[in-house]
Amino acid sequence: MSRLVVGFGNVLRHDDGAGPLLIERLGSPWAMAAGDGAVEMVEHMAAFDEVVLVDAVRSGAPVGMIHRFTDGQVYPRSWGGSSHSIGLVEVVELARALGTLPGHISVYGIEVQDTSSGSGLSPQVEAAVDLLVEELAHA
Amino acid sequence: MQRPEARRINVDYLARVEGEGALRLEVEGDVITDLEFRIFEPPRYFEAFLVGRHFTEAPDITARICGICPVAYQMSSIHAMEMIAGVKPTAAVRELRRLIYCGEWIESHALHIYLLHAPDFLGYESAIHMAGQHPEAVRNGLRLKKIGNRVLEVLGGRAVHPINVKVGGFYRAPTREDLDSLIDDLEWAKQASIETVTWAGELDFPEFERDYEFVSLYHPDEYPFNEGRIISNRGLDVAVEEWPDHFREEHVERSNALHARTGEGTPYFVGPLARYANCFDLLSDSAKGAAREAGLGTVVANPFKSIVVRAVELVFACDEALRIIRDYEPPPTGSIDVRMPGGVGHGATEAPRGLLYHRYEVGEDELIAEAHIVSPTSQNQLSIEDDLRLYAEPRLELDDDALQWELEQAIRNYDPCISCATHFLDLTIVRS
Repeated sequence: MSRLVVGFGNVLRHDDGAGPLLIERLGSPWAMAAGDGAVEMVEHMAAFDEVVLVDAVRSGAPVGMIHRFTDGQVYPRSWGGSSHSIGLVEVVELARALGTLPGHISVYGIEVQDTSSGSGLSPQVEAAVDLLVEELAHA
Repeated sequence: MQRPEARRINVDYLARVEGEGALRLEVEGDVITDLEFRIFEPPRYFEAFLVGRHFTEAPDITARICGICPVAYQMSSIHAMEMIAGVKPTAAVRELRRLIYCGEWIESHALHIYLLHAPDFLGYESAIHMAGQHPEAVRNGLRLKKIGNRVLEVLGGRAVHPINVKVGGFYRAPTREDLDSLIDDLEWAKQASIETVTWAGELDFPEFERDYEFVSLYHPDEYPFNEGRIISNRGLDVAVEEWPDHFREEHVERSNALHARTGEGTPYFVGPLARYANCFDLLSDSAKGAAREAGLGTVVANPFKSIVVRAVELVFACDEALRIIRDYEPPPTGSIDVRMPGGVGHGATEAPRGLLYHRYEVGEDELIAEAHIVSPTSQNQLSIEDDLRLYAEPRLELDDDALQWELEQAIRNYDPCISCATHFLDLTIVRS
């Protein structure tokens, strides 16, 4: 089964860089930084059987926790603030509406703490990234 | 006496960091007592980050300020550095820089028109909702964006933060074959853009016009990207290096924001409407024709109609890209050597969203001593606030949700740069 892994985030906003840093460590060519490069994913993912999407989230859960929504589980549509920004929700739902969403999708949200300007992850977030890299590398 | 009812409306449009609402409105009765439009953090972090870096790093570092418009940041920084060094690009590099900018305008405008702005006019909450009933429109928008990205990939090495661009030119100039590979796509894009102008021209627009001071570059021979003088529709006409003498940023008391104003202290407006008003005659024939067919005059002062003007600029960008590609002769080298004596330089280029100004001071050690970056959206801040206040006033009897929705739509007229904000998601899990 062919798999696409997409990491969302801005590496210049500390923990918000969790997604792209995961991609970098995984060694996948498909890493999307914040901004709308993610929009390309909408059609690109049609070529894959499976898509895995990773993003930073803030829900009040302990920092470093990994929220998992794997096959069959519905991820929270409430993810995504403005309906007009291009993030994980928009990419998935656009793909769904256009018929390009692969049959298998998994969504991982890493609970983050600091999203101020700057680079580098909080230790718990970094640990979560490494854990997820291990899992995905061996999946 | 009863106190008039006070309402607070917070539009958390751009940033989901706690407390950082993008629009704050305070209303007492039927009067707006305060309106504050706050964009994401201005590029101040980058200004500090640039100090001590080698001047050649400026394009790579500043490209990361904006995910949608990295080329604009690269171009403004490069031109500022070349001003300090006293070098001018070769003719070939000059054209290639216009070409890469065409790519950026195409991808940025296409994204905004189709995925961000169109849903408003068609009555959809978002592109997602629109895609169900108008998949073709969404697909066209995505395809246009992809074509813009392809131009950036061919010229810049990759679409997100192009790596092939440097002070002095390009690390590698494209071959004829590289550029010819873009022709078919750009031909399709041109047709699609013309259709976009027609479609956009038929949308319903609120009656809303303002007397803006439109500020943009102006060049006698071409619709502006990288070169020209800074002009306004009220008689301003100055060289790029005179920006600090005619514009200023002022700290706003109640927040950390900086507001840009003219020398007289008044608001001004940059972006597609400003370019269109100041440089209409320099658009390509197809672009002008499409504009006229859509019923536009040579000046558009209704910010809601910016969607049509962006579509007109899409046509121009495709025309210009095709022209440059057809005339292209690969140069012997992609760049010239640049010796950095140190000094002060300024760069102002036309990002998709408007004039983007950079100023650098570089030491004799070739390191950046000071950087000042003013984005188009922050230059528009006061005009946007004035517009929103005027737009909101007659709509105050709407309930908060409805008013918030109207104001969100109004904000989208200005295509504020969203990619600089934190995009991460606030997660709420509802268990039934």
